[in-house]
Amino acid sequence: MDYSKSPYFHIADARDLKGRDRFIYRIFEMVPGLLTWGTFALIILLSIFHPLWAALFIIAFDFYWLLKTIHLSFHHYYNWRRMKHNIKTDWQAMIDNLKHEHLYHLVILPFYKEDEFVIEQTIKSLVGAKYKTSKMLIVLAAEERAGEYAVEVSERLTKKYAHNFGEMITTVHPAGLVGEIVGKGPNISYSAEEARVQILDKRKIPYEDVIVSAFDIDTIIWSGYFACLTWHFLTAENPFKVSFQPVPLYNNNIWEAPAISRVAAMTSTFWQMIQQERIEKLVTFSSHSLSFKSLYEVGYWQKNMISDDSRIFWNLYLANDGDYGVVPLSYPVSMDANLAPSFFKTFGNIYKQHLRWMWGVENIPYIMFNFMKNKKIPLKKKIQQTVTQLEGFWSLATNPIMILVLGWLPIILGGAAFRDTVLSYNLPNITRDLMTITTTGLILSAVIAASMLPPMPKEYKQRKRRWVVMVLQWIFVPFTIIIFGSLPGIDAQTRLMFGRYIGAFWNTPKYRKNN
Amino acid sequence: MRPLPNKTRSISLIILLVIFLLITPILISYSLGYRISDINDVFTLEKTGGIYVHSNISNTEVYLDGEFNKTNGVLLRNTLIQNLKPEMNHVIEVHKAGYQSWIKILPVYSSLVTEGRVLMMPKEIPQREIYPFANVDGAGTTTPSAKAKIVRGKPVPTDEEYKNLMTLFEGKDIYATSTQTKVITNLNTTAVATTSVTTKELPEYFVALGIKDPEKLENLIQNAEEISWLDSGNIILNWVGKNVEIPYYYCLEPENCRERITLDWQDTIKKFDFLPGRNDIFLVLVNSGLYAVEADGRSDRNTQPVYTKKIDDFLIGPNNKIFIREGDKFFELTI
Repeated sequence: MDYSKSPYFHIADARDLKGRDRFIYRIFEMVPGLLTWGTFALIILLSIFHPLWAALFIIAFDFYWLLKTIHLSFHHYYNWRRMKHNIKTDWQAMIDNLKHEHLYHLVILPFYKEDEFVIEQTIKSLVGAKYKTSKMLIVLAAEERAGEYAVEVSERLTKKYAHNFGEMITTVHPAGLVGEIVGKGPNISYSAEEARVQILDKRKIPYEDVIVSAFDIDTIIWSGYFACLTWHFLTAENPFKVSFQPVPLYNNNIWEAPAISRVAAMTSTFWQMIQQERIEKLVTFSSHSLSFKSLYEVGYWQKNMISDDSRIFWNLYLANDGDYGVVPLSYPVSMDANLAPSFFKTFGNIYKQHLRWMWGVENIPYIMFNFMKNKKIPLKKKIQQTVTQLEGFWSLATNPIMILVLGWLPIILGGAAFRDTVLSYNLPNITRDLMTITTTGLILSAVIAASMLPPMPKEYKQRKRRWVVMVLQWIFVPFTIIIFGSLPGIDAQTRLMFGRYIGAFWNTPKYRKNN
Repeated sequence: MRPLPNKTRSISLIILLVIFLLITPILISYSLGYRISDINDVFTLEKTGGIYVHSNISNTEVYLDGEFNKTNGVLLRNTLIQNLKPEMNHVIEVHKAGYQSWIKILPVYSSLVTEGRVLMMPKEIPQREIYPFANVDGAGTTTPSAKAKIVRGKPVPTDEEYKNLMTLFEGKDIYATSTQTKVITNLNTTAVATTSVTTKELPEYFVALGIKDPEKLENLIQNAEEISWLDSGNIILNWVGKNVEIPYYYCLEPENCRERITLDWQDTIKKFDFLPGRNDIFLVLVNSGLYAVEADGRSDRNTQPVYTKKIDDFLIGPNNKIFIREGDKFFELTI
């Protein structure tokens, strides 16, 4: 892993470089924003000066979108079946046929000021795992900046649950360390190093025998998760050259969350499900697992940037000269949908959370720059990864707006001469018809979403009405994909383009009405 | 269960790509107006045109060249008729029970849509008489009470609405009540020593039209981009906005739009205004009554009676209501 020693390996942004390198990195930072704004500008200019071309492009694009929806729905449906299959599979029986006693699971649970109830629910789910818990090493990773409360909660829960696991420790990440942002990455990196010293080295556990799972604090694991993960680790061609990605289901509090939050949450889950079938595009996201050996060799998660969950994949990809991937587990872990005491607070939180996710665009200049520096990665892989990432962020930011908003521009801006054409009259009709067909895909989404819902709490009244709302909520999709998809995407890319970096990790508040 | 095999994904992608490559040109051709026509078993690709009928009336029946075409809806009242052979005239009829029919012969051009806007007045327009007095029950009446004030031998009306209408009809600025009308000139007052001189600044379009004193124009009505007036008993409607924004009813054919429409009536037009909400429909007062007439001069203008008795005057009152005066009587027409 020579490249992990490169001075460029842990770059956060252009400010970490000097001279020509800094200039090049800044250019790369501008690329996603320029592509997105360039697309909008092109459509607007075409609509004004060549409305005919703009209209033809929009019709072709609408049809492309329809076919893309079919293509993605096919992946989504397949993954739904696979996930159902994996949930039913007896993974313990599967690993019993393999030598696995040497393996340990190091589980890192970083938290900030989350409620003790939320943390305890997560620990309880670990206790309830269908896996030998003596092989589980738990790190409850508190933040010093969260104050006494976090330390007290951490110590109380460690005392209460430690006997259930092979080992359980509390770490307290010091506040204000040089070179670190305020965020999750520094905490989990610190706790991973503490675990290495306090547990692995002390017990002389080889690093290659440890699988690390970094879970957000609201992650409720499904009982077969560790057995499933172990099986995939043991059967992977090279388990040190892959990360393992479960499907995040945002359904812990799904019945409590407002419809708009549910749709945003489920849409995020669906996207991850689709990505699970497109391995070449899959990058670690949120809660994920990997070999401790691999993690240790690259110096843990990056501490100076926001998107630590996806950056660790790129770190490993570069360190392994492109020979690194992600194994999709197609097995769920449950997390919280966004929920706050008021609707508007929830709405704001969803936007902030999606902005943080969309800030993952900061990986694009990182990979472009490092692809330039790392000569050992095959050119084909560099091009494929760059194009995939650029297209992914570009389409998330632009496509919903192009489909739902910009389609009208040629009619509005095209002038009287264009408005008198047959094309001008057909444009809205064809767009409407194609979109109507496309939205029938929402029926599949509603069915899949309904199948993944936890049981409705028994105390809930008006149960039929709640089910009806749970189905009808999908009409919000055109709005949610713009408000929580395109807008934060454009926001993130524009900030990056102008070098207005997001300096601190926005911690999504975990709120459950029942706690 | 393994992830979706690459082979399956590739096949899916190729199928969809082929569909895209095959269907997109068809979609684009269709949207441009191309249709396959079958002439003596010979299939040819023909570029067609269309007609778009704007309507403010719901559930009308639209006929094309004498054949029923479609019924418009409640929400989507406008009708687009496509696949029409170009360089031909087509007869559009729009009917609805209780309404006067609209018939128009419209030309169709290749790849273009010809616009039309229906004029469909109710066959029986409800009218309400506004009485000068009220009886003891509060109902309107023409008989004054015993206590009525008499001025110059005539009882003074007591009903407020009636009195307002009297003012509106008799006032010098009765046209100011029209929603289409606004102040024509800007007044610039320049103070010179102890005296002040008032000058009138003519808008540029009057200068361009060679009109030196707009106040001398009879029945002058001006809206944002159109001015109209009576000239020798005919209505002159003049476009003064940007050429690129000229409405369809000024154009006899594409690229052939005139800036002036003249409505020449066989009888002398005594007064006109615009039908509320419509810039393309004149309300014309002639000796035989009040009529609604299209400005659109393509084929015969649709002319529909609004009130077919001899009346003295009419006006568009507040809230876009039409009031007519017949001697001392006032009526409100509800369209």
